Amino acid sequence: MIATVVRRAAAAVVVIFCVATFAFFALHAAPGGPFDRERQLSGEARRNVERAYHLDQPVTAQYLGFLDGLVHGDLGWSMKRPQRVAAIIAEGLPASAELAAWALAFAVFFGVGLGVVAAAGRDGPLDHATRAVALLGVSVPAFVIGPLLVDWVALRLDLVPAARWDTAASRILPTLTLGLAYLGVIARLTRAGTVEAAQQDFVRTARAKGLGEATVFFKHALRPALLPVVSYLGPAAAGLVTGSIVVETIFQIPGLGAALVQAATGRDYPVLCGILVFYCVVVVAANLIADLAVAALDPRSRS
Amino acid sequence: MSPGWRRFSRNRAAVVGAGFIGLVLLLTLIGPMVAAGLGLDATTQHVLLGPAPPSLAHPLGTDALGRDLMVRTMEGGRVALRVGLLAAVVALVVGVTWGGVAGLAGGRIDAAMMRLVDVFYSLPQTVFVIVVMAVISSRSELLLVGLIGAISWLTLARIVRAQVLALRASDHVLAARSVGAGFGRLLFRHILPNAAGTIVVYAALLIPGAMLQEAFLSFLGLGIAPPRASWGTLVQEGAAQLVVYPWLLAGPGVIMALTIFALNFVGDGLRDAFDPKS
Repeated sequence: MIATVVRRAAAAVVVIFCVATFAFFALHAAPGGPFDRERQLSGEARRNVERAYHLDQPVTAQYLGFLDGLVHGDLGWSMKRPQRVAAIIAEGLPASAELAAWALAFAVFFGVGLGVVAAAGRDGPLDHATRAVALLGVSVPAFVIGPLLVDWVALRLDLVPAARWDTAASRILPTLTLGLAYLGVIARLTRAGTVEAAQQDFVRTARAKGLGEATVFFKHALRPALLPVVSYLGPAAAGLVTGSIVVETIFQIPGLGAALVQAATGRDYPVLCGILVFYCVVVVAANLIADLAVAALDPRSRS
Repeated sequence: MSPGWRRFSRNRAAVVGAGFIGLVLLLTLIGPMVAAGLGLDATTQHVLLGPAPPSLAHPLGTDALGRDLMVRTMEGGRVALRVGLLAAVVALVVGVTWGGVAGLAGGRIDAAMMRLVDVFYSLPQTVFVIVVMAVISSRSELLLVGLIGAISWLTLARIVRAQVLALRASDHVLAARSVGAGFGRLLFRHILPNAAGTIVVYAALLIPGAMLQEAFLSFLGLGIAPPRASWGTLVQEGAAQLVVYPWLLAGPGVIMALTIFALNFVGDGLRDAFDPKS
């Protein structure tokens, strides 16, 4: 087990290193100098700025400096705002992390519930309904669902705020918008897992021992039924990151995704690449945790 | 009729979906020409008309600049379908080559190549596209196709590899190998043609995903650039003016969602009909 953890963690570090290298060279390849404006800086001022950003050094030195900073959690300075990239990330992180946590909690709670109910009533109306929700979540993108929810729930019915991120009620619509796609997938995974688990020998044995349906389900069938859901949570992290970009844009949430879009349209390359590296660290860590959780939950993987 | 097509034709959702896609194709390919005959196009502004709700003259209404939304939605659909289809072709070429080489080479090469696929799979690929689009600072459709294709081939590579592994030990491949057929000849002449059906079905399943990627990027203002219409930019404009002019989102949003729905139904139907193992 410990050997697996160490090996996977080492692989994760290599992946992050590759992403950081990509980010550095993307930064370096950006067209024009970072200080090409309509009004050119004069010679001395230009040299000063270039020295401040280490642009007077050879590429290899810049690259090593970038990696060195990265290890110390320093991603350099924004080119548009008088702020460090790390500070911009720290500013956006709380809102983004909270949004992702709510969406994930919503999707897991209702997804698993719906999946179990659908498996219990196979080919019944609820089973078809969860299939429809799953398909809806996959086919109708968040940037269509989000504005529609704003229109109906926030503006016409006036139940919750239409945008921003301050009151508890302002969390509801972004959570729904981001979580719906995962709710569908998780419900389908849970359904398939539950149906399969119900046919296993150990479940039949548990029933044959005379255990009640509830005990059979919660103590024997549920754990293997949820393994696919747990291993899906790793890849889902990447989707949550991408989804939060669009949800934060729709609901004007001051998070990382909004900062990323702002940096991309404003060509603030250090911020753009910094957020890319940060996202990848989060996603790689989430995958690692999901894999280890599956290994811990699945008795077959213990040696 | 082959058994595959018979199975497909019994799948009602898939057949209805195929019919709907046919209609969308017809409208997007011929619609703008018909509209041009009626004196409508996607970019001419009628500022005096302004935003008008759906009417007989403008079935989906007009936007704030008085542009006919029906024609803009058809033009946007043309962009969406073209990007989706071409990106799927790019993904097809990369995925088949990658999965095929890994499967036939086997051993360490296979392990390394598929490990790389696992790694790409876990990363937020769309963010890489955003970074590259911003760094190259181009809004060309060709670049968009290339980038979306470049992130869409991973599943296909896994499927092709599995197919190649299943086929590479078969007798006709051994026979070809024994008379000295090279790596490329074995792969492209003797193995992949036998998996062509499965590969095409899974490539078709890539199209709706690629269309969503395009719409996603255009919605954020990082894909197709205005004044050109794409479903993403139309939804973005509609969402921004939802309160005052709700029809701006309704038309393009519903048509885009239905098209992606239909493509998913058809893709799933094709897979169930031609790849019964899955």
